[in-house]
Amino acid sequence: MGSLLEVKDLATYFYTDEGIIKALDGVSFSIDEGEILGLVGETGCGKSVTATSIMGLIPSPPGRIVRGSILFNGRELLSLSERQMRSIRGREIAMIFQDPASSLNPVFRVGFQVAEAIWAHLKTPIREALLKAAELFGRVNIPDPLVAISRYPHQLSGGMKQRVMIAMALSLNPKLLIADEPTTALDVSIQAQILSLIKRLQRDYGSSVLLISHDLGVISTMAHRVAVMYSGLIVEEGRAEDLFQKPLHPYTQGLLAAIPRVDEDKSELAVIEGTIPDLTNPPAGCRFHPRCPWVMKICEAERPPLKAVEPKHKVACHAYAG
Amino acid sequence: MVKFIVRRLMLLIPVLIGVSVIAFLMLHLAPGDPAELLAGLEASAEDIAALRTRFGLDKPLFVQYFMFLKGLFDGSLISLKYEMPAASVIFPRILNTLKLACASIVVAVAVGMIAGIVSAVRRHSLVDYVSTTLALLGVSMPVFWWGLILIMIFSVYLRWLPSGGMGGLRYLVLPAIVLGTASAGAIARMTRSSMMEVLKQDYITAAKAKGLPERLVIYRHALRNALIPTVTVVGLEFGYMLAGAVLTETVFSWPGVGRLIVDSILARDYPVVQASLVLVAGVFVLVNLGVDVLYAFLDPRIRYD
Repeated sequence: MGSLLEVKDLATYFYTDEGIIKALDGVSFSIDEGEILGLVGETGCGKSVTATSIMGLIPSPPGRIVRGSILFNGRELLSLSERQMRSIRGREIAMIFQDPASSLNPVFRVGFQVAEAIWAHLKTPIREALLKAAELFGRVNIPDPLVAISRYPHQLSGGMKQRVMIAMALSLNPKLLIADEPTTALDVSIQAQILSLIKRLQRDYGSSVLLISHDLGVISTMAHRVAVMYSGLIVEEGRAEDLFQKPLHPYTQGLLAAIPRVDEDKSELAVIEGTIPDLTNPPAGCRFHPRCPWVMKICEAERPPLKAVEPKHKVACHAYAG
Repeated sequence: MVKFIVRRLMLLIPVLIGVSVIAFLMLHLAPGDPAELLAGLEASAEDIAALRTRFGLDKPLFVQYFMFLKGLFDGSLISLKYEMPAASVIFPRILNTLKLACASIVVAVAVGMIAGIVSAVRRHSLVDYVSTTLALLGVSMPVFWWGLILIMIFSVYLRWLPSGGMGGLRYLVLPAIVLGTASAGAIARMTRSSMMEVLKQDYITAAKAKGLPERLVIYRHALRNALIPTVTVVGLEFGYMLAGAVLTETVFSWPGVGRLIVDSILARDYPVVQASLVLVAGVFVLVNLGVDVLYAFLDPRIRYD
């Protein structure tokens, strides 16, 4: 199977009064058809900006994609007009957001909001689109779909709202689903339900998924492949089992070590020393070097390229140069 | 909803009682004997005594109050100046005021909302700067000055529109613009800020992510939410237009209730002043009720029962 999405050297900057925020500075990764790619990293490392860049929804000004390429299904998204991009949004690439409470419009009925997405692309009469919405509600396990379509967002629980968002995202059978922290705002018991729903639907529909999360647990249960992001760059990428069993990058190792375990008797939590770098003025060379336990001379001067050191396992670290 | 409206209409009763008590007491709170006040400086002692009996000023205060209330409805509250029931003096004036206020609010809403929306969507552009400046100017311009300028241009030089008085629609144009200008400015500022706030929300990004055209995202998803604070301002502005259009009415010789109140105060026509206050307060409360009903219509989260 070939790549559905290929992001190459993507750089998105925000031009603010305080300076240029280099939110993404050369991000590359790809997603195959039918694959779930997990994108992990700390808050503020550029995960969401990656998602909005792909969707073409970077608020401009102040944001701008300054270089790179986003090939989707063989088409360069960055060279499309707003009109062409609109026909892709929602139809070929759909998105699920972090907080279902704020991503549904409070003044419209949820059924209408789903139907509207169908209408926007297929010009289906709204009555028919509403029936389609009810059918989708059934598929995402919302009880009483025909009643639920006429509910307003505030009448539904967080989990139900996220199901509505998923129904909306799947309404046009997109090839790629971007799920940006889809369970972060939900209760733990609901999280598992939503995740297994996404996984089931992904299998049924054969879509590819870009799953963004800061939660390694979520990523490990869901993703086929994982990309680790740090300070606007991908530092490691590989198959989920390889990456979790044998993390190569010191940052990934730190992340995995920082997960508290119940079977270990430790009084202190493991942490990665230091703080995430300021994106207006990132460290030269490898952006992780001020926090890196293995730091060498070259790390301060040269940015390590992302390259394969084992089959299907890439890392951006000078320690693997030899 | 019906229950809510009925409940609010019932609430009108205590409000009107409160206002009527204040309006009634006004005459008695003024220093000196109300009868002397009514009679004027040169009145003889007999005149004053006659007035006192005529208006029941020799009766206990609460009896006088009920006489006043009764007089409001049965027409026995007589205007001193016009010598006819106060209610019949006020009623046509209120209709005139309503006519002017409706025309003005239409002007204000149309101009203000369009300017506010355009400003918010294309913020920090030239259009935005021009419209924010004009809005500030509109809010700050004194009504009498702005009215005279418009009369000078459109009545004196161009001779397109009458400079004052009442008649067909042509007579309504200039006063409606003058009275609507400040409100248009206030509405534009409120629409701009609430629209900008709404455009930052996640559901706007989500609406765009569905592939909706920009136009629908703005006019359907954003505007409906941004209207809620704007409606509050529109309601308040409409209330002020009903009660406080004295300046505009004076500049354009518009026979409205604001001028009536001022003229009546100057002419010491207390019954008319008192009755007008009660009526204007009633209209004000009704406008507020209308705004509250509109809220529920715009935002499904607001339900009053």
